[in-house]
Amino acid sequence: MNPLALTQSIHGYLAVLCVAATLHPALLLRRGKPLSRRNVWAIAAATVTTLSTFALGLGIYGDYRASVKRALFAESLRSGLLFETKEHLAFLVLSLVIGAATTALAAPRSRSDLRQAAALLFALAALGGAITGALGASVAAVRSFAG
Amino acid sequence: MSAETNRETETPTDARRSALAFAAMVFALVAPVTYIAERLLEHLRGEAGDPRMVLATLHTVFYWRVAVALWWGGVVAILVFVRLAPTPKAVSQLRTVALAVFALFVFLAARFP
Repeated sequence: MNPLALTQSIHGYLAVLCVAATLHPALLLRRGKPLSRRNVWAIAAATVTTLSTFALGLGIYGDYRASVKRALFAESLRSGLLFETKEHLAFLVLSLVIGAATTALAAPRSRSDLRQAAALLFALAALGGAITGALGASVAAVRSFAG
Repeated sequence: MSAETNRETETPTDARRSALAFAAMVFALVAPVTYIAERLLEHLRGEAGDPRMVLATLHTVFYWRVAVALWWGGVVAILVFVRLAPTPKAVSQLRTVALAVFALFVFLAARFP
């Protein structure tokens, strides 16, 4: 199997996992209670999953641009533009997750309002991740490293 | 106990942690807004504004856009950490801003890819 196609598949699966991983801390933190060990693990998992997904995407971006993107635009302009939208939304998700994780972990026990704000950021990241993942699957169905 | 009441009895460590948490929230919103501003600038200057010009643009455009947005988000977050106290009202306002930034970003990403 083409290593780039394999990396792209892993990137896609991680993106789906990312939606669940960011939704989990959003639910756990919504009442603003002090963090338990379970909450810390959930936040860490969401952060690592999101960073890994974005890093993998960045890693294959150069090759994607060189060998897939042109063909994608040639085959379907709409899909090409959807890829651009996906690219922008991925950055939004990354920013939200970094901010949410730091907010949740740094907030002292007494500041439930900060943890609730972090929950909102995680929820928005999950929604953005879901849209990004759906766009990614739609684009990959038209053109990918696998052909 | 409300966050307002707790704020009055916050230890210096707690105050620093609150400020860091608030600065992180600011980072989460300033970085995407910076990204929007960069895209707007690209459109205005005609540089890489049209993704169909895939052959004519450098493949590093996205990398630079992301790097600059993260950097500027970090700079503003540091300034907020140093200068602003995170009152519950400010946190509440930032939550509203977060919803607005999210909606604006998704709209612009879809409307002007």
